[in-house]
Amino acid sequence: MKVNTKAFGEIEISEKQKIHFKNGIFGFDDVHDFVLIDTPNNPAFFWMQAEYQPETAFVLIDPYLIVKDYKLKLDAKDQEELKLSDEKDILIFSIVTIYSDPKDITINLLGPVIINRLTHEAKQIINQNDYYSVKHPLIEKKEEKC
Amino acid sequence: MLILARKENESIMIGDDIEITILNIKGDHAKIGIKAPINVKVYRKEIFEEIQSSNIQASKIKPDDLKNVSDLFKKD
Repeated sequence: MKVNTKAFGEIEISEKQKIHFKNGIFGFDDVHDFVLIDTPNNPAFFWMQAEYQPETAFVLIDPYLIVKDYKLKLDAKDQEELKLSDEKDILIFSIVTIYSDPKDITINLLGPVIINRLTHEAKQIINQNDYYSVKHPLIEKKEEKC
Repeated sequence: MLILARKENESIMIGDDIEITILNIKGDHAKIGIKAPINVKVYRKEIFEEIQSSNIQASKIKPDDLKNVSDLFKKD
């Protein structure tokens, strides 16, 4: 099937790339169907593109690439909504935000996107470990070198 | 909105199994205790709002932005 995307124009997408958010995501409650697309030359990032709204797209990253000991706690209701029988079946992503200065990039560790890799049910949850930030820096700020 | 006046250590019940108690009031701060079943989510409203506004900001990403990020990684 063909999907009109923000990053790549109209491209062919397979069923395997589809994910479904029963309740949408925060701020986008009415958008339920997304597809996951690899980023050429950059395996760290994925596009999460709304299937029917070309303008609605997010960039995702595996949070463990940035915070190695990231801790996620799912509650019973999350597990039920994701139709999860085994926590091993989940994929965990953080949404990436880029500000006007492209070096100013943050990832959302408080509201990760969780996908059941078997059923492709997805949900943006609130991490029960609520000490995480929605704006965790992607790259630790380094001293400018002269 | 239903408005109820409560004093310290007084509670309200929501349904049969959610109890909200005003533990302590100091100036403009109220300490609130919440007893609820494990499947009921309780959050500060700011958390919802933070994630919502973060998503809206994140959705403004442009394909070219990511090229710049890739460059940053390559330099490292």
